Amino acid sequence: MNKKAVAYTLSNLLLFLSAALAAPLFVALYYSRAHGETGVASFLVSIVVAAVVGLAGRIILKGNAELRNREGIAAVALGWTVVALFGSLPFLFEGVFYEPGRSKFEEFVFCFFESISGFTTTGATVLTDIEPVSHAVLFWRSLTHWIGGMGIVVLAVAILPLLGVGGMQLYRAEAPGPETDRLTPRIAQTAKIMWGIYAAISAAEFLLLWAGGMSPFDAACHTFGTMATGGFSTKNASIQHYNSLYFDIVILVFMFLAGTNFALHLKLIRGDFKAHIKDAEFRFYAATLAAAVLLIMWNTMHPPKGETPLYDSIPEAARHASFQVGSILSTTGYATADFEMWPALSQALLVILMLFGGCAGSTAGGMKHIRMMLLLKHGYVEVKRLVMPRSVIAIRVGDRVVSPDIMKNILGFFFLFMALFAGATCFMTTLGMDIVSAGSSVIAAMFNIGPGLGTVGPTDNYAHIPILGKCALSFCMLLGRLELFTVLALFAPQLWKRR
Amino acid sequence: MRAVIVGAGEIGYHIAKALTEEQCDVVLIDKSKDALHRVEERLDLMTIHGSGSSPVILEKAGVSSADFCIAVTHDDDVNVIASIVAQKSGVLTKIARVSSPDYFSNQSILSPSDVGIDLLVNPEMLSAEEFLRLLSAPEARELVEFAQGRVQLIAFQVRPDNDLRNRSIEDLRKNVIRRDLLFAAVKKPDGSVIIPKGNNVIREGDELFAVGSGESIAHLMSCSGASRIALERVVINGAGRIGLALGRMVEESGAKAVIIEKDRDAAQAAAEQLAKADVIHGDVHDEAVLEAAAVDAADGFVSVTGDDDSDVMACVSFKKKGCPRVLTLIQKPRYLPIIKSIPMLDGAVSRHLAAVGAALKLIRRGNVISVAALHEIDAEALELVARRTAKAAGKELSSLDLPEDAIIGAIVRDGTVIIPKGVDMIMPGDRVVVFCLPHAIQPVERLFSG
Repeated sequence: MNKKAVAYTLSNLLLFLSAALAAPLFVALYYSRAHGETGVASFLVSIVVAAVVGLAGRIILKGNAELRNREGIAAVALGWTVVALFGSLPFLFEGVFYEPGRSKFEEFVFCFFESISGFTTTGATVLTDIEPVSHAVLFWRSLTHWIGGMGIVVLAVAILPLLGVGGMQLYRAEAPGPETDRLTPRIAQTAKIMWGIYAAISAAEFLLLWAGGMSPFDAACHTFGTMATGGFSTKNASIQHYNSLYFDIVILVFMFLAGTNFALHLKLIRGDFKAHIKDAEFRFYAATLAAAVLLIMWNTMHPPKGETPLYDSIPEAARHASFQVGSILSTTGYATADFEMWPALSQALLVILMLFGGCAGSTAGGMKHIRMMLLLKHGYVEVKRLVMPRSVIAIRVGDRVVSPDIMKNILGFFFLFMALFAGATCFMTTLGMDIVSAGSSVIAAMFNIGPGLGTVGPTDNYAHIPILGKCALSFCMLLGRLELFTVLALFAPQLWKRR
Repeated sequence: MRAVIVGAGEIGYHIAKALTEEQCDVVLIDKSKDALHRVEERLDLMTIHGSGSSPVILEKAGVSSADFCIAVTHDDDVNVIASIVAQKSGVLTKIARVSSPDYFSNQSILSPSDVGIDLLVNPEMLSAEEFLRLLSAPEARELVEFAQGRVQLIAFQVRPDNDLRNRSIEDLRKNVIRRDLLFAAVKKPDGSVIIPKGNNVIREGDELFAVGSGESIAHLMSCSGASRIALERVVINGAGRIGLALGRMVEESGAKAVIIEKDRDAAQAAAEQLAKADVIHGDVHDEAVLEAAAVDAADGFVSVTGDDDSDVMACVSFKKKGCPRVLTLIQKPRYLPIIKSIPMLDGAVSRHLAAVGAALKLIRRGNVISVAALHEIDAEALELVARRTAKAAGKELSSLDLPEDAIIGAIVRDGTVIIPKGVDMIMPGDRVVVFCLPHAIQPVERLFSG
């Protein structure tokens, strides 16, 4: 591996991050004028630190831009870590997690957890009280979602021409889903289109939220949280704070859109109005959502004997069931109801939905529906083969045949996910967590959802988890966002060998 | 600009490489997933897996919005069908690799334009032509002609017996070479390329790239002490398409062609096709065959069997036997740098790169008249016409905003060759030969277009 080329790419990402940090700086400037809030100095220092390190790297390593496969993998996996690291600086300088008696290292872990939870669009927070925190910090927290949603490296590929040749390597290592769609011959163009659609849909949601009466600041932050399927809110009670049917519907619709393959949105914009309906994965995604909503509506209105029904009317049950299901399925993590009060079946369903995640090519986390679909088909084919041993069966998605290589990749992916889930859950229980909290916190982190069950439910947060647990969950979030392989490749000694 | 390339072999890869470097959108089609994967690792382009003769696949590649369709698979039929589909989809420029001479042998019945092909690329014919050029220009590793031969670019290696050795460029300029000659580049034995200045000294093993009028190049070669070989007898090993084409060209130039071929049927076919040539059936590594070919009387030996190892060995053994000039065909372009380091070989031709040069020439037309890819140093020589409205027209060279990796080698004005200095001006209508690295091609083109 050409380590210099990787370091050069990391330097570019840092420069990029310092540019992104300018946005919260402006917010800080505004709120320091208008309301005397702090934050200007912290963001300024963060920008300078990121820019100086990035520039130094660029100058020292000039001319090491060529990335091959291995360098691409390493650059993405390390890039996300480095970006999360420097992205946590404002939290640290601003003292968001400062508490008397908390050591500097512990405080730093809090900051890093919040930062990586933002960039990986998990939305698990260690803030116990959100509302008193300064606007600039809250804005940065939500902006990390938005940047991480479509992918910080993809954004860099779109804007920085210097990532030309290695662009596809980077893109593939970061993009969600088993196969990467290339919409245009040039990778930078594909990245630009993806970001363009993302920005356009975000703008639409922002306008709708603003028009509905949210302040521009809250509208922007919630747009970032929705479109990236993140889940950071500016309110302690998340979306429940507003208790508004209008906001519930708007956010639900956009969560659903953000969990859909963005290539389909592009086809729609280009005039193919049936693009979504024709797509097998999208149909499966919509069907899963509908089925889960109906089951949970029934379950919450007619709970097992001995429990009182939670919702009396169908519209009320529909409203809460659909928002929670949409939020979990798209791995956003916003909440308008405490689903821990729901009957056991509904809770179990939600946990299963957590595994599903959104579609390939979306901003959502999780296994992705395409993989779930193929795993189901694969299981079915194995049964069929038992009955008809001589049959040769091709697995299809829509009218496309899935090659055995991709199938193997998915099976391996599923196994690794399960193995890592089991390992991480055991690790969390050794830190003193009960099994439900331990398991659901790992799922919520690894599948980039946010809230889990038990002590990390929708009304709780992650502040109480021990420091080692926070580190483990941070790693899980990164694993999940980059879909395991890219991060796990860092531990393969062959990656580090000179070629 | 958008180009659809059919075939991810060596030719397809090199064309794609050149085009992506010029910011052209490239879609590459091939039947082999592995081949596509190898290209995707290195170049920024989109790949589509499937047969290039399928209209569905071509449509998926966006052929209807493409400016170029370049079909260069090994299969002539696929290439022709792809060009027909491209023609129907309204692609302006179609280039097809057709190796078989049979297709368009009677153009009154079927001509390339009937199926929409704008340029036929025949790698075998192109490499035969290059072999002949190299044979008739001793010492030259590459020889490219511009402006109907008025300007030539020559590449040659400085041998231990070369008289230019150990003299500075300044010294040569004053005392040896003619004024209308320019040393465009020097490739040092370690692989680095420098643009020579006056105080640089030419050393043994250096490879010189010189641009100048035909006479000045001839003068330079005579000064360097290389004796010119009058071509009388050329031995060709291998009676494949290249061998036969070369044999025919050698015959036409008035020299005697001797063809050695291992396969009896192929030898028989060669004898039928070439009336004046001697055809010998046997293995080139066989002493008796060498004797029959009268090797010691040969002025040149060309090995074109297509088996790189065997070709190189045959060349080496001919050189040992005293053949003044041995050339080989190279199948794998990545062998070229290795081949060049074998001092016994006088030159190598890759049919793939020959085809790439021909295709790129057409793609870059506009004000570019011709292009030559110099395999030795990954540079290109362009011949352009300065348009009347061009930025470069009417300016002194020293005030020209020329990219760093480009130099102007020659200006041809009203039939005379000017080797320019800083004070020379470019006039509208001038033909200009520019020598540059691939990434500088576009800025250079912009300078000279209106």
